[in-house]
Amino acid sequence: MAVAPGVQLEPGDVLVTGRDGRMGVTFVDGTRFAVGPNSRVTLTSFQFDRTRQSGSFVTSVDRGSLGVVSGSIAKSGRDAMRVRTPTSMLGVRGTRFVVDVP
Amino acid sequence: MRIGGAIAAILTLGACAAPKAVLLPGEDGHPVGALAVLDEKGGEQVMDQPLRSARMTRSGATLRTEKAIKPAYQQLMNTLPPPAKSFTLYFVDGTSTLLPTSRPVLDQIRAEMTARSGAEVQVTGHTDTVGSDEDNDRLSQKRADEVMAELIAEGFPKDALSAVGRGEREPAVNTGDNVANAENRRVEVIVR
Repeated sequence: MAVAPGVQLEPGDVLVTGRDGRMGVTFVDGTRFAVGPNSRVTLTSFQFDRTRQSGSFVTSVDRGSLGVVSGSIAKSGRDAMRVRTPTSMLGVRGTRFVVDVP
Repeated sequence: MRIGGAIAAILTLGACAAPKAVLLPGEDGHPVGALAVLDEKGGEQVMDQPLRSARMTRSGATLRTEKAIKPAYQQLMNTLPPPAKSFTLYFVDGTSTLLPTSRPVLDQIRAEMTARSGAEVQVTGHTDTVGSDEDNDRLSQKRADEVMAELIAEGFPKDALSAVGRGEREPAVNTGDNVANAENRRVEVIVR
């Protein structure tokens, strides 16, 4: 499905970009993603309690590149935000980083 | 020379094939934070300095410090959406009538919505602690609906906005029960 700005995402959605594609995503906890070209990124799970500002968030970078600025979920508990790659699991303790899967 | 170059290229390619993570400096002078490579046995390797990176293979991670941010990574970070922005509007005591001094904030919100592609707006109403919980739940929802109606009237798509009332549960200023407080009679708007 081709997307236009403003589309709402759900857990389980897979973000795919082509050779010249790029994508920016903002999450309700304030986390922001930049998805680079030739990428495949899966939003494996996302839970957020707005009142408590806490939750859990798992993303898989299957290929390509992902730039992240983490939000409230990463602050809400140790490794509440994790990023999986084909070979590893990252625990996010804040705040700006890049994951690159060639 | 040529052969040497070719071998170097192959070695570099080999080294690049593993997934990599790089911790970047914090945004706008914020502290750097940390990133940990977790293994299945509960162990971890932590990056907690700017430009610390990990090359991650199935057998483990190798940490080092990069000399500079790769231009491709810089370019990637430049495509991040702007951070969410929040606004607060205040109300006449016991009503869903905006204070005149808060009306210009509506214009600021509209400008922020227009400036973003695919903006989403979250409107949350609050009250002070005067009155019953039920009345305040209703009043806070009315305040949020009022602000949402103002924004929709300007032609913004309805499904990009949502309004909830939180009653007196989340005061801006902690007071006892049954205390009139102008700072708590508010609606918070987050544009993202």
